[in-house]
Amino acid sequence: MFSAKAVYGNSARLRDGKVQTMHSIWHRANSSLTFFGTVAAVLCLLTTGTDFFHESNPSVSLKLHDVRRLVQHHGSKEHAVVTFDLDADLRDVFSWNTKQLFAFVQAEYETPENRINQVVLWDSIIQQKPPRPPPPPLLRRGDKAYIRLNAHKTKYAFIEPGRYLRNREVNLTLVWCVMPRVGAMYTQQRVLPAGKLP
Amino acid sequence: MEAIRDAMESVKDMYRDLRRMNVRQMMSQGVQLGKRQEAALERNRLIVTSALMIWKSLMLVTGSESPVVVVLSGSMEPGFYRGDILFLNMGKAPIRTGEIVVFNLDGRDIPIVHRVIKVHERTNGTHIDILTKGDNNYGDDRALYNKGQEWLHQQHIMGRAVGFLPKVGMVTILMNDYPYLKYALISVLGLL
Repeated sequence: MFSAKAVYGNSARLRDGKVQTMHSIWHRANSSLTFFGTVAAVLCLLTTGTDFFHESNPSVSLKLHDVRRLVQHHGSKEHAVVTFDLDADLRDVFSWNTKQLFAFVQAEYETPENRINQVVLWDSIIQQKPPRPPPPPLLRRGDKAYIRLNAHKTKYAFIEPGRYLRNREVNLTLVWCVMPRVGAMYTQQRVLPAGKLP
Repeated sequence: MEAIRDAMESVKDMYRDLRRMNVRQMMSQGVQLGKRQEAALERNRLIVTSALMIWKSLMLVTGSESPVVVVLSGSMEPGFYRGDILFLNMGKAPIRTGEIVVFNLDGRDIPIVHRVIKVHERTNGTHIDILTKGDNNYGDDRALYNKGQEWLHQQHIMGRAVGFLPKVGMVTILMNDYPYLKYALISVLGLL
């Protein structure tokens, strides 16, 4: 396979006098690699296309459980210590092309200074589990995609950079980012009004 | 061994042919060889130029300085590993939480790919405060920002990640860690 002819090419002089070198190892390697690359690219595009047709409608229930404290923080800021209840079944969102879901709960509110405030309070990485028969109800707790949190403390501090949290209307939103094995990422969310802070 | 013997044979053949030719034939052979090399050079120039054109037009279309980036650290695992490629798009839509953004801190030239976890946008829309955090990190990115910097702003953001290819960018990381690999690759491409 590594004879000189294979490495340097088999020259042939065509009728019009041009010299054509073919069948060397480099040419074979070049064409195989190009073919591989093209097929891989087409397969990736088709794979990410299947996500386009994937529909899901997970049930989500999210509410503020308790506002424990609402205090001054480092002078000009405000810090709210809250707990929340979250009940979400995100198992349907997984498609065969989904590697993981990144789900998070955020508080959204509007103040006179800032028209948009979004503060992530809690997040979770949910990885694709290998397929198995549907688990009996008691075992559902093992599947991270079936989220049940009661009076759960926030992972990250709810800090407002101004002094506008008192009596503020707040929305709690569950957002999930679908991260694919290959291709385009997309995000879906459910917004649930949570009432006013004290 | 067989390769060396074959090479010797072909060299001997070439020498015999050369001796038989006269000067004019030798010059035309030289010109032909020169033409072939010139054609190869031209092909390489075309490849480099078209790669550059494609890159620049991607920059225009996505509105981002760097439309394709390679993930360099493990701070976004298990979503993105070292060596994955991210496709970026800037777009006019405002930055919101949950988006994976690539940002450049002042005075540093290595971009960082992390997720936005806090957004405070002023009412008149002129100013936006952004806080980011790597999924796999324990704390937010304030430890990474410049001294005294609490927030990122619109000018730091280079683009949003919209697509992903696994492991293809490992070549770039390897070439960075082992420079001789870079030179070897370039010389092989030049010979082709």
